[in-house]
Amino acid sequence: MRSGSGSLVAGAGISVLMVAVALLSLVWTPYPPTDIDILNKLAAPSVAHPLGTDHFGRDVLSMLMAGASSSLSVALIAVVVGAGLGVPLGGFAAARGGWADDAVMRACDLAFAFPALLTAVMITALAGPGAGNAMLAIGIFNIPVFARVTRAAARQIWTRDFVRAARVAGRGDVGISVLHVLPNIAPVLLVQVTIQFALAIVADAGLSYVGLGTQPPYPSWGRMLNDAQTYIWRAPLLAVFPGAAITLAVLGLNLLGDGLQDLLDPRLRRRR
Amino acid sequence: MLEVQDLTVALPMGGRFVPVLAGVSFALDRRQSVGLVGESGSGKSMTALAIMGLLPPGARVTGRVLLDGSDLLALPERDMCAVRGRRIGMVFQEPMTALNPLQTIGAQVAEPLRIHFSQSRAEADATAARLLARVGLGAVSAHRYPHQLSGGQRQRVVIAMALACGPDLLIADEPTTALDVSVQAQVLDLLSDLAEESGMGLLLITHDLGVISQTVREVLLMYAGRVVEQGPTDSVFSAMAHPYTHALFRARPPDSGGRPVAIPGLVPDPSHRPPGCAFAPRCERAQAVCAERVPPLAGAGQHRCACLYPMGAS
Amino acid sequence: MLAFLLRRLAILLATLLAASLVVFVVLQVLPGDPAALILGTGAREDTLAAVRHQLGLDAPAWLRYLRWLGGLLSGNFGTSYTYHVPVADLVRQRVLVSLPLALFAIVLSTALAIPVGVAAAARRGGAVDAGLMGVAQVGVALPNFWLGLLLILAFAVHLAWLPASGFPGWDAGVWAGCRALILPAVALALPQAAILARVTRAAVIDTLGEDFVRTARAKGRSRRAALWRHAVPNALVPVVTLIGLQFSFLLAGTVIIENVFTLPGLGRLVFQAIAQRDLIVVQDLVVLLAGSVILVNFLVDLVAASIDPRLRRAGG
Repeated sequence: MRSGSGSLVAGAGISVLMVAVALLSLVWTPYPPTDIDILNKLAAPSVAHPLGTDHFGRDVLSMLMAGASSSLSVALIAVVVGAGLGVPLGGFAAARGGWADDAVMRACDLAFAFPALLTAVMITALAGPGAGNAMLAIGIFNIPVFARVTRAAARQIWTRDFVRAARVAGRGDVGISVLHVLPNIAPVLLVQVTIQFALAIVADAGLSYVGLGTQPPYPSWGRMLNDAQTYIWRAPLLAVFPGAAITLAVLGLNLLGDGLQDLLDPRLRRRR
Repeated sequence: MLEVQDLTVALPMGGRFVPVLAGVSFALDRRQSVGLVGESGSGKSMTALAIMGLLPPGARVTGRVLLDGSDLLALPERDMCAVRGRRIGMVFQEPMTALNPLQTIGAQVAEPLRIHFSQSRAEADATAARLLARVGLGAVSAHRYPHQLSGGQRQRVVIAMALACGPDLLIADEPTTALDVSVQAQVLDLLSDLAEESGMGLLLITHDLGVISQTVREVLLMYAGRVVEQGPTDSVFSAMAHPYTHALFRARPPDSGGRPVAIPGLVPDPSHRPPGCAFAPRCERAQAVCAERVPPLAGAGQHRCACLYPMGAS
Repeated sequence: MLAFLLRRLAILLATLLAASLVVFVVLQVLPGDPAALILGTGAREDTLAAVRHQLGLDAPAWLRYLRWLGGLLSGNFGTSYTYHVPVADLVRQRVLVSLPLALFAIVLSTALAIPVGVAAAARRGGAVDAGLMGVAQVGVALPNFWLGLLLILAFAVHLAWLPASGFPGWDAGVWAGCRALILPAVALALPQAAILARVTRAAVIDTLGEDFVRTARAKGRSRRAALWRHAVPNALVPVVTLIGLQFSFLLAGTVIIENVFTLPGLGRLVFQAIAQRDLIVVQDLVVLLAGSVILVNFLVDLVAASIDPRLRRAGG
């Protein structure tokens, strides 16, 4: 199934659209997303408000756009934290092998035993709700994922001849890791980034839904869903749009990841 | 017993149909052993798969494959399933991956018995144990798993599976290529013994001329999807007619030491076969007319050759 | 086989111990003063001291840890700071909701995903495959709590067939209880089924290409028999592993869905306990849930080894 190029194009397109909307919302939205207009609350979609208004009369479209920027920024930091710490950790484990490798892997196994969502909830609740802590809590769970993926991929590279040649030529572990291993595992890591990014968006939405993520008055898709649930009998559409936005963002990232996987590394190419 | 008539196979590749077999014909009787020799790309494995009806989906097949008179190519799939494993057994090249890792060897040998003879588990297991002993694995428990056996042992299991229902024909596709040299002879001997003993026909496919000379009475040489020479092994080996056969011989490391002579050029890509004789571009004896048409198999008696300028003639 | 089992068991116990240690350190040691955490900032010193004494928090950390661990092992999970009832009782009540929900969802998910995955793999490249995988691609992207909201919209608001939220308790009848669990179970199951179907498809495609499937055909097996008897069992190990992971998630990761449907499950218990600073409940539950994840992993390893004899080597 030649889905590779289709996935890549569709995924890239959607993702770029999301990022564009998020960036745009930083400078312009049809209405200020925090503008309350009680007289106009729970309005159905119209020309003035293409997606309607919420229970405070805020324009849903503007809130969605602003929500994009908050979702994407939380997800971005979470992935940066996870990869920034996880990749070196995994690389170190692969380079050293032996007890270092065992220790890192056991630590990852232990981390995986803790239910991620629950622990993220716990961390944000105890440390205080807010976007910053959400980034941290989600990011912490990305660390063992990246560590494991990096280690698995890097181990294969370490057995290759050109790495041995570099060793003989006198390069140290760090040099080899950065110059030889990293470029070769970059495709795998990139694919993992798209996966974790998508997961982070959902996690952030979940945390916001229960009130632990981005705090009011900053809009977030998750909180919009929570608010919508209260009014589900009167204004059902309110529950549809934020969720559709989340699904679309995740779908775009998944397609992008699939497309990248098919494209970048023939060895990774799964028979789709 | 088996008559292959003008078998032609084309496979769909990249939107086109690429010919992989053209006009292959031969016959094989019970108690007879025939060898199909050729390099990779010659179509020898395809011939076996075509006989078994195991070609990839979408393949275009013409010609006839008669097993005791009935054309296998015309059989509906359900009837063909009844032929596979029961009337024709097949041994494949890669013993390391030919067995299901999750099942015991006893269960796998018993499987054809349960499929074709509807034997109960107990009966089938008993027969399987006997079969394993017959192929030289009597000392190995039937409750072992494939990963616990060596390559040679696994190949014996595969042979036992192929013979389980007492087929009329055994097709062995490169049965020893993936095995250590020391084990190869054992497996080949096993095959010929079993063939002798049960009176079944043996179709042995290989690229190794040494294997052929030891094991089969009649040989067909294939090149680029066609039979280029065929005849009794002794006759072909002593009086090689086709230049390809001759070149193939010279390309073997000689027993007496000295260096093999490589055949210049490469086997043509099936999608880009030259017109006329496919071997002509690499042939020392080629003339202009060789590129114009495909030479038919010709020759008096049983030893025939598809060449316009066979060796031993001027 | 015995060596393999023992080794796995040893790893299980060691991980459980490590998990309990981590939880204890994070909740009781790191914040410094658990009493302050419970009572919040601004509490007076004498109140803090009284609470510390009452809850045994004035003992040294290692002693508190051992007492807690001992309690866990003997079934005494302590008493909730908020409700003043044994934590074990709270857990038991909630488990009666969470466990059936998890089982319901995993059965739904597996029953849907495996036939879909196998069908797509067997008809690979065709319209059926493309259609099924297209649906799966969207399914994977659906957040389960949004799907829950949509289901509420459709089945509770519009059609009024099922309750929109809440759990009546099993005392109200098995069917009444089940009715309340249908929508949440479906919301949980569908996205998981989508992931599982994709993994199943990939695994079966891989095994269909293996030599032993050709051997099975050569023995006289039909395409369908070769698929189900030879290819699918060989594809099961990664599939079973994923099902195990999904089940662990269903036990421990449903806090959001429980909020959507207002279900009195384990997730909400932890959530409320966190909000109420009921540390002992949080501690116990996190360890319990981590423990169940570890246990499920152990069981999955056993199942995988029972399927695939190559996994039974002691080193594995």
